[in-house]
Amino acid sequence: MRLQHSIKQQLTRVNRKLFITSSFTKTPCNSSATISDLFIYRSGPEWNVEFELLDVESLILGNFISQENRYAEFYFFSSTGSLISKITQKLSSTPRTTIMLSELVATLSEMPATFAISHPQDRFAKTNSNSMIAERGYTGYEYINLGVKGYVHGNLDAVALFQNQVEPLGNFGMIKRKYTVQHALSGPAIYEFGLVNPTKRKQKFNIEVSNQPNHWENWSSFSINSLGCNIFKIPIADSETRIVRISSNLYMARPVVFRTTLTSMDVFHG
Amino acid sequence: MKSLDFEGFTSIVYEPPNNWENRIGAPIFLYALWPSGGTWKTHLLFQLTRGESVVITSSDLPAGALESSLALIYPSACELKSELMELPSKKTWVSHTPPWRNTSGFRSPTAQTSYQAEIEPFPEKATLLTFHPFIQFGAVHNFLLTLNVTRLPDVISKTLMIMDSRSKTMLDKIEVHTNSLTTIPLDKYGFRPDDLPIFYSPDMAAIPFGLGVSLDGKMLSLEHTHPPASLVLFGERNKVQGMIKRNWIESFK
Repeated sequence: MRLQHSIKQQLTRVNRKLFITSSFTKTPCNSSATISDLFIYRSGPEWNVEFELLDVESLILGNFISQENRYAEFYFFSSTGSLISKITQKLSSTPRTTIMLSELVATLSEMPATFAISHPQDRFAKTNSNSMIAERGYTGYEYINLGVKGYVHGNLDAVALFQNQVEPLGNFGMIKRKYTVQHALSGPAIYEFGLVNPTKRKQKFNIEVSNQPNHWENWSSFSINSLGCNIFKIPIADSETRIVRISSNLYMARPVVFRTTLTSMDVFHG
Repeated sequence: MKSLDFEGFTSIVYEPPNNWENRIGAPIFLYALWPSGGTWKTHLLFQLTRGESVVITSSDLPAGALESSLALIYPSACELKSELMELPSKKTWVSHTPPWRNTSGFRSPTAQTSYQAEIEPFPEKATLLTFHPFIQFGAVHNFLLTLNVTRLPDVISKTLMIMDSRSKTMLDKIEVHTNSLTTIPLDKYGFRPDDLPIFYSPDMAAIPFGLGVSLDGKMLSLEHTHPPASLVLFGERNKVQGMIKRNWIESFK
């Protein structure tokens, strides 16, 4: 029994070395950068998107300051990973500012697919903690004017932002691996899965679905440029159940999931 | 979970989140565990084989299992006794990169709302400090939910303070419970869109959630709020988490 346990432990160690060959998130080149998720933006008449902007530095230090000239910067990216625009947003002295993204991007030349946010951190830098400010805030998605937004928090340490420079922080391995979405799809509903590529290279993705144990079918394949995004759709009929898995070289290809029905919307991490 | 009149659900997939870490393939027993009378009661719900999935709802649980508004779903490699003095410590499904999770949430006849869930027991002595930045306005009722689980089955009253982050004054003091899901209505505090309430418990850790419910009850929204450590990365994160808690707690009036 002990030998069996020991062999299992060794196999796990070997596997880990094969599949996770470096840290999940690269250390940014500039220690004054903000680390931000690549938050998914939804465009189109069905969607109204907001972001809850907080003064992260003030939250860390325990005091909101009403100092002029403190700004957060919103970086908007296309689905192919190009930086479309950067919009500066004054940090107000109030603790919470809801940014109406659908209004903010209305004048852009192209609708964004993702966005990231940088924050000032002069005061935080003086604490000498060697830590960096992380933007993992809350995006609110309202679907077909339902009146209630579904919120999802940032959790992917995707990019480092510093003075117009955008550095992808995601690492990836040489061996393809599978990520199984930790949710059984149930209908009737339309599921949409938002994937971003936080690495510096273009990545390939293969989607498989299963409706019976150990039987997987190819659903779709696509590539995503560095800092790009793709949303793929799987409709589920009434009484149908499916499981989804995603093959890629990403350490963890975890999607944001949008589940819509005729009368509701649910958004969550898959 | 149980909150208001909504049906709780948990969607469990017996497929590991990655294909290189987990080695279990044998059928497992899915148990519901809940605290009652000083023990963890257990009830076998299903047997699940590799590749299957199941959605467990409140109606699958025995009467009384949601007495504290919370029942845990535990995948076990072996059958359990009907009562346990503490939660099982053995992890049946092991995965770290990422952790093996499920989707839990609430349903109404017209909507469902979910979050990706897993829970480890909290230490008996711990604190909670969190900011709630997504209270909704308009035709929405807002609630805060606190979810606490400890190794031992005791359901004990603890304190949760609602603080105003600007004035740092206390708006209210609420009773919450260990091994429970506590639902706290927020509408009565009259929060404005630029307010950022703080929820602070000096004697209980918990996962805090914001729950939004449309006035007609047809649309739901659920998400957890962050612990302070989520505000930074790299370096001495624990030190920064301690600093954030200290900075706020010491300034409360």
